[in-house]
Amino acid sequence: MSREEILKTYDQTSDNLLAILHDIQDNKDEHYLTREDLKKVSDYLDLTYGFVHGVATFYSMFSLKPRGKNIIRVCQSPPCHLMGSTTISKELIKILGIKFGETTKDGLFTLEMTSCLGVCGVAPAIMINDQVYGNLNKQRLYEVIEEKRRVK
Amino acid sequence: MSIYRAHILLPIDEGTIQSGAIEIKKELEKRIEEENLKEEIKILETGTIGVIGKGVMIVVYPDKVTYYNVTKTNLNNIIQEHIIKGRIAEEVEHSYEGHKPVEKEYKNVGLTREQQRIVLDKCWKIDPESIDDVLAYGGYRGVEKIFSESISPEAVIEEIKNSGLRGRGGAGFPTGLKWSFTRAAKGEEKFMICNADEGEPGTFKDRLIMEGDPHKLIEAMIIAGYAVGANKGYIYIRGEYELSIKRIQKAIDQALEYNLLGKNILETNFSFYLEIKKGAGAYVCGEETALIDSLEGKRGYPRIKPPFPANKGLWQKPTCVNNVETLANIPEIIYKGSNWFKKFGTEKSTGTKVFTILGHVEYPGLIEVEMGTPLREIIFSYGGGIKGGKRFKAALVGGSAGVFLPERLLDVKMDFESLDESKAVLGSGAILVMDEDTDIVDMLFSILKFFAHESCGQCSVCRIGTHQLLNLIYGIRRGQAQEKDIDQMVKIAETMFDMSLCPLGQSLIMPVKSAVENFRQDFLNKIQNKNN
Amino acid sequence: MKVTIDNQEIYVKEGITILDAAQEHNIYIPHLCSHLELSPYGGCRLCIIEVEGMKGYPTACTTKVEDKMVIRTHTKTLQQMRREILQLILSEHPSACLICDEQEECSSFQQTIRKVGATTGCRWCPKDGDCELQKVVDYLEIDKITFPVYYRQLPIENHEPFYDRDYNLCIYCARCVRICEEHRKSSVISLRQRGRFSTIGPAFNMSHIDAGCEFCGACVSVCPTGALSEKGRKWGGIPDSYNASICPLCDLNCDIQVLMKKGKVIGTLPPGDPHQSGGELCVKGRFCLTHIINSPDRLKEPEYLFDEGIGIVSWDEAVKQAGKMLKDVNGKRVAVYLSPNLTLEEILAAKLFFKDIINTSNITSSILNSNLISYISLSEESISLKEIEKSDCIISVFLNGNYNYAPLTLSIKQKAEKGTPYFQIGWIKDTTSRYAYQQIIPFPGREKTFFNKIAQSIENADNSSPEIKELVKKIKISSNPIFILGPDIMGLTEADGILKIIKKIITLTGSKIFLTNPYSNLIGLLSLIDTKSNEEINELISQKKIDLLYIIGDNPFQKRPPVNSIICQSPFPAPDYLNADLALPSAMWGEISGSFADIKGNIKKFKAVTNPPGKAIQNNEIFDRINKEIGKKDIKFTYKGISKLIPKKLEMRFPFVKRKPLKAKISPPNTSFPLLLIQEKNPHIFYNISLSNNIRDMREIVTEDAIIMNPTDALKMEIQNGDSIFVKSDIYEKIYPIIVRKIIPQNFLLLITSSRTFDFNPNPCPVHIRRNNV
Repeated sequence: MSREEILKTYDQTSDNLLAILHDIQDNKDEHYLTREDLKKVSDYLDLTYGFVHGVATFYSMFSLKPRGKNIIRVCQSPPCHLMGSTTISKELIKILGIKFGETTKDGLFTLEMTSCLGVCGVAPAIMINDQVYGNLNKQRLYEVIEEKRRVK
Repeated sequence: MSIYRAHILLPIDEGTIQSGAIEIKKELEKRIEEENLKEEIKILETGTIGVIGKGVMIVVYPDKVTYYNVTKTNLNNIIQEHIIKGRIAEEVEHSYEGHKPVEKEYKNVGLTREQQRIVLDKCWKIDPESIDDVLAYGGYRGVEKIFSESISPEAVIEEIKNSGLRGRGGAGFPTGLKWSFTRAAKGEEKFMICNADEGEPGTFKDRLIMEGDPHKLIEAMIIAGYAVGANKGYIYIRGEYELSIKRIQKAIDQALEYNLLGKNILETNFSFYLEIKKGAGAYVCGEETALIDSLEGKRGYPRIKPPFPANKGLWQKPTCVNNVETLANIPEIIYKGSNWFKKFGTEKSTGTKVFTILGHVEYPGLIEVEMGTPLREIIFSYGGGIKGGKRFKAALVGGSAGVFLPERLLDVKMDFESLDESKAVLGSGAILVMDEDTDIVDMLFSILKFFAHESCGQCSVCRIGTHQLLNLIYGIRRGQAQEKDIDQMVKIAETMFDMSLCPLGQSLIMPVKSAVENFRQDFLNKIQNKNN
Repeated sequence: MKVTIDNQEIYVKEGITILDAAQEHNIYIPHLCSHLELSPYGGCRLCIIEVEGMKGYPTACTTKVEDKMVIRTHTKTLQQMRREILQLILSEHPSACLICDEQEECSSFQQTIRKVGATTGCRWCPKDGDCELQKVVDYLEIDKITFPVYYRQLPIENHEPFYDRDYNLCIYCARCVRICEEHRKSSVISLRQRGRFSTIGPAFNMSHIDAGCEFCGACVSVCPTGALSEKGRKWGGIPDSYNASICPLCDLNCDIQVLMKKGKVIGTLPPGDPHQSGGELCVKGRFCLTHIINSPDRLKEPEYLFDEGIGIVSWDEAVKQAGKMLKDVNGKRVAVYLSPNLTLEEILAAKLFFKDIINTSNITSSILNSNLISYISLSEESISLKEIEKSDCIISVFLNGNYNYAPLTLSIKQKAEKGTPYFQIGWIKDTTSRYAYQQIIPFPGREKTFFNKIAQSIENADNSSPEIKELVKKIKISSNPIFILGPDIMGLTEADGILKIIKKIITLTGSKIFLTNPYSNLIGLLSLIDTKSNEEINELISQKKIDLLYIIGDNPFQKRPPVNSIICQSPFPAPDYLNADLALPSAMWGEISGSFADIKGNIKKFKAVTNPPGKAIQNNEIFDRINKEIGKKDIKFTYKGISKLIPKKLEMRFPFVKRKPLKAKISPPNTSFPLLLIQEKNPHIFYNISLSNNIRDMREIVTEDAIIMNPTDALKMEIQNGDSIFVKSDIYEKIYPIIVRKIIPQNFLLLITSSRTFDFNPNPCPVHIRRNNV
């Protein structure tokens, strides 16, 4: 769906702002919101550009930078921390060769930190796009990433 | 509708999907087909049963036998033994509900030990995506009772008040009282909001309710909307919960189709509409007024109270906000009566509570037990004790804004009053168990990092306080600190408790103070090791 | 109701906050984020108090008083907790000087340059001595900060006009964001990110100009720290005095206060507490006045054109020369030009001088052309600004509210926000556009037809466009519709015709009208003197019927007219091309006492706050001196003598104009000339000098003689900001630089100029453009 088509599915009331931003972001391969997006949304909802920008930057699920095909969110909350998410983070940095907040050169992966994913039962866990991977150790992590690399 | 000899329940949740539940389901369907049992056996996809880390699970009903770590190989064994021959497939790890322990060493131990399920009663028995299934299992009985017996909204509120139900989001405010405020507030248009922005680390009870029994929430919202006088309800679900959003949306659509939602519900004068609002990743939006701001499409800043949402909430109109778990109690209370509900739990904390048992325990997962169940029982009986036979060191009770409880407080009863006496909180019901090797400083660091990331920045105390705390613990962790820094942390947390605008900043005192008071040696070790 | 604060029983109004109640009774509760004009925020947490029967420590700024409340504001615990919070705040606010042992000694050596790039302590802060944070620190007697201190290392933003921003000093009280949203209804800046990473600014760090900032300075006024500071006043220190005055930069004559230091004007603010003033002024009143009065270009000494060239002369010599010129000439052959910025007293003095002593009736002003007269004659029916509040439908016509008429645009925005339908007819997007129910752009090149259609549509339902139908429908159902006219109409070739139709529309619908004009005392000028139109005087000059031109604060010419001699009397030098024979430096607003008349003929007085620069003297004194030289009659021209003669009620008299039939052919854009060029006379003019030309920062926001173009058009044509382009109509072409801005819609070009006549004819004019280098 194009941005204009997405906009049309919503009423022009400001409470739809988050939903619209979600939709526009999800409809992009690079999972992010452009300046143009925010501008068009602010015009559509009669909000100022500054206000929409303020909202988009408040919530951690929105990105204003292009992201990779696979967004890896590493849970950093205490339960995962206890079960070894630090090791997972370090390993991911090593495997992917990027730091948190960065995207690999091939555009395949973006590494992000996240608060609790709500899957603490399988800590430590990461979320790749909409899919959760839990009970991770180095070996399993490696397999997961390799699998994602294969399915280009 | 044909009568089936047995149901095979296949819990589908985030955990089982990764372990290959979808493939197992296909295999199962294939095998049932091959054995020509299609007329006799029904395969049902259900929500989670609360056990985690046991791979794919299947439950054979009515025998109530749960099999764990099901693979394609042992699936055949189960079908041969149990489905065809009618006896338990002993080779496969399994348990009876309430009868037989999973493993012999732990008598009456584990997550399948008898629980008191009100909130999660249907969670693993039904197909959450089928309203027919839900109705067959007694869904929407509460709504039906209200409308068939013409119970007035006031009477509904009275019933909830009498039940003693208290908010399960953390603060424990009496639900009936909250409803009565919104009911009494002046205003033609009122709103009912369900807070499903479950951001508290270590908590996923709301997700399981929404994934496992979404109709229960819909039913509760209808009742609540009816009671407070709202015709429009919102369920604010955190953006990360894709499956919950999908299932709730499906449930709403089905309920609309059955006229359980929409205009003139069940041909009464009452109309009620429900809409999902998706969060976008902000812990502070779990605070009810910040949630309302976020729902209005703004930055999720907590509002100044008073006015309370009951008088000026969404769009400045009377609004009632309840947590998912709180609401999930409602249908049963209405159907079975408040006196039935009061039988569970303690005098002042009635009913049950869903706990998540996490960390260094044998069986991490989720249970629903009566209020007032001792912590020791939860950790050692349900959780199966400390993993690998190690010693217990601490339990972080109540989520990240919870309290580090040392061993001497293990016998505390898990209800609002008892925990309050021990300067602890029930919070979201998350219990994070730590073994003897755990470094409390490191855990506190993780908590403080979380808070520094999630502070919204509206009030100066929290914005700067979280930052300063993070820096102090960072110093302690690296050994670049002095003993006075430990007390400095408590002082900042105390300042934040007294002066923060919203509960986010206020609650930080819990982990900081309890960690320092109960495990000061851990902090001193860090400092001394590096200083010498 | 009765409340007890710190054992003191006080009676307060219902519904106010505890902080307000305390402040009313001079009980100080420290606070930083709370602001009188803003809704409670509860951010800084300093105003915590104890209330009997309430749990914890509520904040005074957010808690409403209740009857019989017992409040304690200064217990030991509270003060201790406040110190804690303040220390937290100071831990990320450069404040080394506050706790430095040597602060006393240091300040006595701080006599020299303090203009450092970054503020690292109070002594280097533009707000030193006027800082609310500093006051709270003094009050709470903070002498140490127990927490580690941080410097956020944010870049210092000093590249934009009028005010600088150093967010390293920001305490995130969000007053600036809130005043911009709540009070100015602009929401140009917002809070971004969250928690400790919060920042403040327009979306994506775009420039404030592009974000639509009006530079009203409200954010600067309310900032409790040095994070936002006026460029002009940054190093001026604390003012010696605050003097009430009014702003002379348009006909609204807003009340202001003038900030003085050592006899110099260092700034202007809206009236009231300097930190509570929330931006009722536009950029001109808030920032430009100081620049204008302190302009280095002021004429400071009399100048006489000798045969060898211009030379400075003494006043005695100058007066002698003036007398000689005036004595030699027949009064009938003298023409006088008066600025519409002169005070009533000056105009009356001029009247006495020229009518009674010189005996001329050739008095005019450069702006008195036929279009202006058609326009201003509508003002007889104009309502006052306050009456807009009563309206239930607002229609603005060619009103360009950008950087102008702040009280007017503000009341439009406030009304529209509350649900009053607001229609904006015109090309230009301004600060009110976002609030418009509909912005209607008349069909390019067919503006007169457009208004005709509205009139027709009112008389009988017809096949006009849906926009017009909606407009007419809304006007018809309103009981009190108001048309607000902008002076841009005067610049249109068809102005006279359009104004006639508008008058008809107003009569048909029973609407009211509100008129704006950029001149502080045009009404006074038309009321006190029988003027002639500019066209009439011009004709006399071209017929060689004028020997001497006496120009006061005005200039109608682009080259020297064919007259024998020219006397210019102005606060600013006469343009070189005029070759004025005598230039006399006069005092201006701020240096004289006087009065202006508003649209309803009411008189507003103001007082002198400073002395004129150099040897400049008041206009009235100049008349007095020359009169003595000529020695004709015994009239006193001084302020005191004249002010008594001003009538209580003013009534305008309009000069007679002979209307010529329109020569220019008005046509819509076509394939050869696809763009419509709109020429606008720069409304930011004072004593005939353009603020844009005179003030660098003003030039950045209102650029003259450059083509303003919509970003989409620019993108299509691959034109960038600053590029040079040829603009060509069927009869004229010229090269201009380009400015890309959103204030003009696609397929339109905007040209703001302060020259006497427009380059392109007619206005609006279909043109085509091409890049200069192609």
